[in-house]
Amino acid sequence: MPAVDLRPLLPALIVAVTALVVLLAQAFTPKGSRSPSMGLTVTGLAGALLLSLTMASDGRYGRGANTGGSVVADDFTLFFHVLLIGLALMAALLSPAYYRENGGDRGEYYSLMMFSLVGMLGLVSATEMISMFVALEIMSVALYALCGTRRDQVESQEAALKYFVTGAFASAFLLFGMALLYGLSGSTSLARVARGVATATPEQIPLAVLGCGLLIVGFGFKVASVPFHMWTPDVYEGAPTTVTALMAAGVKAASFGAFLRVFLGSLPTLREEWVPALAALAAITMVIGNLGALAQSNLKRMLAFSSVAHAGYLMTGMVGTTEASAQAILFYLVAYGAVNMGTFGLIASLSKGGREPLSLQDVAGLGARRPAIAASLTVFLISLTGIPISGGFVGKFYLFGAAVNAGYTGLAIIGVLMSVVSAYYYLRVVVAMYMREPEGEDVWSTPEAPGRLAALIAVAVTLGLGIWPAPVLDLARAAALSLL
Amino acid sequence: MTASAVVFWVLTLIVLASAAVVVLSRSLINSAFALLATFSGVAGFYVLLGADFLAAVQFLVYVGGILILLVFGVMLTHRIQDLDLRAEARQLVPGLFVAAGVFILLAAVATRTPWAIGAGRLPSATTAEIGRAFLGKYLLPFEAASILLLVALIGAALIVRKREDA
Amino acid sequence: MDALLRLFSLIPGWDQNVPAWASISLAGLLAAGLCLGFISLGPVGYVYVERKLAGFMQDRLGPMRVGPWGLLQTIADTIKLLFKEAIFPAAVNRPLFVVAPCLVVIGAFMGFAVLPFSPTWQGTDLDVGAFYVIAIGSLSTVGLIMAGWASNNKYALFGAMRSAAQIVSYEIPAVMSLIVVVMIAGSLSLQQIVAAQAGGLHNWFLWKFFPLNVIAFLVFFTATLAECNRTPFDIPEAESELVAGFHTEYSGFFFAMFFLAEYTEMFVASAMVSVLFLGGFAAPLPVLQTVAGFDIGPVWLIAKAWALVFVHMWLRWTLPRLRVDQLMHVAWKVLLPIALFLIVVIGGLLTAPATAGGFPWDPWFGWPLTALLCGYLMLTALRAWRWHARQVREAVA
Repeated sequence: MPAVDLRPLLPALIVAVTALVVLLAQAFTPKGSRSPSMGLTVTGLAGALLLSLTMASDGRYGRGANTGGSVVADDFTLFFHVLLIGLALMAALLSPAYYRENGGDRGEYYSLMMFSLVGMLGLVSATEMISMFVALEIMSVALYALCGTRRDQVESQEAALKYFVTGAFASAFLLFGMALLYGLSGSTSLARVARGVATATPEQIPLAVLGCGLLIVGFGFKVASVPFHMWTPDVYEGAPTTVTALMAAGVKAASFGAFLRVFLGSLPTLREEWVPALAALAAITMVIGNLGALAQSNLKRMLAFSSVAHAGYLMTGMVGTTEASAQAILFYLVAYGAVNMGTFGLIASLSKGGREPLSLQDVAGLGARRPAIAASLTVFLISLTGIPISGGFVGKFYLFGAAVNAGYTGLAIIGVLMSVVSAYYYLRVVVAMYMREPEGEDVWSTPEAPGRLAALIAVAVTLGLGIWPAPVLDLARAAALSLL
Repeated sequence: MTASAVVFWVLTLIVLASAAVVVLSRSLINSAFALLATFSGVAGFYVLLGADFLAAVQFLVYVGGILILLVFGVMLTHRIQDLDLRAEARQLVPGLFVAAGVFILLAAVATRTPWAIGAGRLPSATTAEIGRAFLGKYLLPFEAASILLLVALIGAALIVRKREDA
Repeated sequence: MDALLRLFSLIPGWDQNVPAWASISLAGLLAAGLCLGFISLGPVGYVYVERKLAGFMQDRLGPMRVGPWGLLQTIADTIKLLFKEAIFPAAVNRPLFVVAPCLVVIGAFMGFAVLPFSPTWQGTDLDVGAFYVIAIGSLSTVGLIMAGWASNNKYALFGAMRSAAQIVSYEIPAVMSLIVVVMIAGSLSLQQIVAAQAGGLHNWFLWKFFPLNVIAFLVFFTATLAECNRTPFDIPEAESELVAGFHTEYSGFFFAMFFLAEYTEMFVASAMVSVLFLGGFAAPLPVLQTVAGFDIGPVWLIAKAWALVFVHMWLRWTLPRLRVDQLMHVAWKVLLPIALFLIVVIGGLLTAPATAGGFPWDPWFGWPLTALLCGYLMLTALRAWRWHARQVREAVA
């Protein structure tokens, strides 16, 4: 038996082991005292992050290694590893204060969060369809459970059920698509699928196209693109806010990672077939996402529709199918992840006694009462809109640029127009924070140190990407090159 | 018609008819028990295809595990007999069109495509081959599936656990 | 079935005139008929033995009235049971109420399809035989739940839930200890598992890797006991709390079917234990395998199975019933860890070249221990019998 190179699995293994340790620590914590869940989680994730960075630094530590044709640690994988572990780290920092205010800070939450991270890491590194599917399910199943953890709230139960049912539906589509591609190529390995599709006879092309279509449906559900976005507002609203943050930032990033690896990496020979479909989806996603967000008064629902809209922007980038478009998507995922983690994180860390600031009244006058929080939120909303000096602006610039280079100028114009529309609902929040009088007492919590640290990181990343994007752009370019 | 074709069509009839009962029956418990016939029919397909191990697994996992858990859940649900299940079909016509369209598309593609069929014939004893595939080529997803099951277990326990006043 | 097919071929002109599918179907029907006769007549004997045994253990005489020593009692009971009206209570779910006992019987009966009575006397030698027996057993579980639900009776429902929980739980240690045997034999085919134990008692898997496999045997036997809902695991039909559990509402012929299924399951489970650990149809001494040139494998298998059925009965009248939490405790926290430990250890031993064929001391333990055990059992039985006889004498005097 040849020696198997396990290095690509190491970060995920560290995370999984940490998840088990946290679970056991909770089990062996006597009643009445608190288990050191967050400390353990942060330690484990930091270890995994360091390892990923080390691996990325040099080929000697496993960059480019490959485990049995199933999992690969190329630049693309490692880029996502660093991003996803970083996001999970921020979510872990935000969690203890939030869960204490919302019914018990227990080790199982951290454990499930980390297992879902294991799924995400697997999803972006899998080069074989069965591994990819299992990873996707690990990520999703952990999140289904996490959505339902606010036992006292019926919305949370609804979110769990809705996410589970639609998620299972989406998984079935994905699996069907994979099965068709397997039927075409006789292998589940993405490289073999690529070869099979490239050498397909004209009679086999309909099968390949159908497989692609089903995959688009499956991934469309996961990244929340129209018309597969129906679950998004309810799930984002009902889930515990830190989980929403992880969902909005992490799941979207990981799903786009797999999306890119399958479509740009393995199915470029079919690009004439899937690019127009993707362009059409991107267009309606941007329009419906932004128009939907206009109508929302609840912040979490508004951000959910904004997440739909961003799926549209990201898909706009994908129609380019070149390394420039992959680079733009990777860069934007970093910017978008930091912003989402920050926004949901701030909402979570203000929550008190089971309530969160979710309406415009709740945030009215925040600028006077909590200047630091209001300023951070403003930075995030500016980045979501895509106004210069924020990471969102640079990201959108490259995304729309990729679309224009691919000849989809109309799509880019729709994107720009919709960004203008989005300014209305994002800036409405900013206006409420700074230009309206506060209503009633200040009933919200003060963010604790770990939460403040997470928010600070998010602000730093958002502004850093806006002011000096070159390093991350270079990394994204290297990652994109390793994919194509 | 050969004997195996007769068996195939009988099995198909069983699977489709019982699946229709599963979907259309108003009583949840009847749906659950109709699944027995569906699962058994699918196991029959596997036997017909020479996949004996898979057939046994199908029976053990679906009938011995999933179906029993399902019926358990139904029975433990409070006052389930009084529940009038009325799945509202508000978009019946568009739904039917979409479903029919997808079906025609899939059927047309499936019947017309020359599939990539592996060379050689099935191994007569599938068990050993499956074992080798699981612990060889597909070891990683096989082991990852155990994480998936663990996650499902933790998640289920977390959702149903009693609320404690922490 | 192969034996039957070969018999058909002996008939002149059979192979030329009868199509293959017809002779296969005919052989299948005949084999099934044989098994059916065996299982439907079996309980008449079991019940008599069980009642006599119960009488003996409880210092009574047991049935004495009908026929000499009450020998015809169970026959009379059977006839009464079959001619009784099958009552359908008003609120039962009729279709399910009827289907349920059928499923239970089918589940129990289908196990016979792969039981190897000799190298040729076997329904069919499936490659996944051992797995098949476990899988097909789930059908009975579904039947039990269905019976409990269809009866529309709280005792029946409780009984069904308990039995399903119990069977599903004990299936796991059963399969885990089965894996030990499968690993040693290297096959799931029951025929090959028996073949691996041929050549005398010291080759039986019970005495391989002494004493590890003895533990596996005990785990498997306990689990099968629980899967048959026998005491001490009979809470599904605990008469002191649940009337009669899932078959509370059944009467007449339908009740007889549950009865039949229970004894059939007992036989199949005991036969499986014999095949997996006690050499199946292989004789303890190779000399005893044939009598006058005739393979008496079936006799050996049935004798071993009956011996185990006797142990089932013996335990029933000796042990008290477990509580439901104790029951789950035994399955999940005692048997399962033991079985997992055995899989790891024996798996490891099998991969090491030095111990791949078993421990070096294996051949030395089987014979003396078997002899000791049998001797002790016989002695105890003898003493019990003499004590019993004395009691009877004193009572008469």
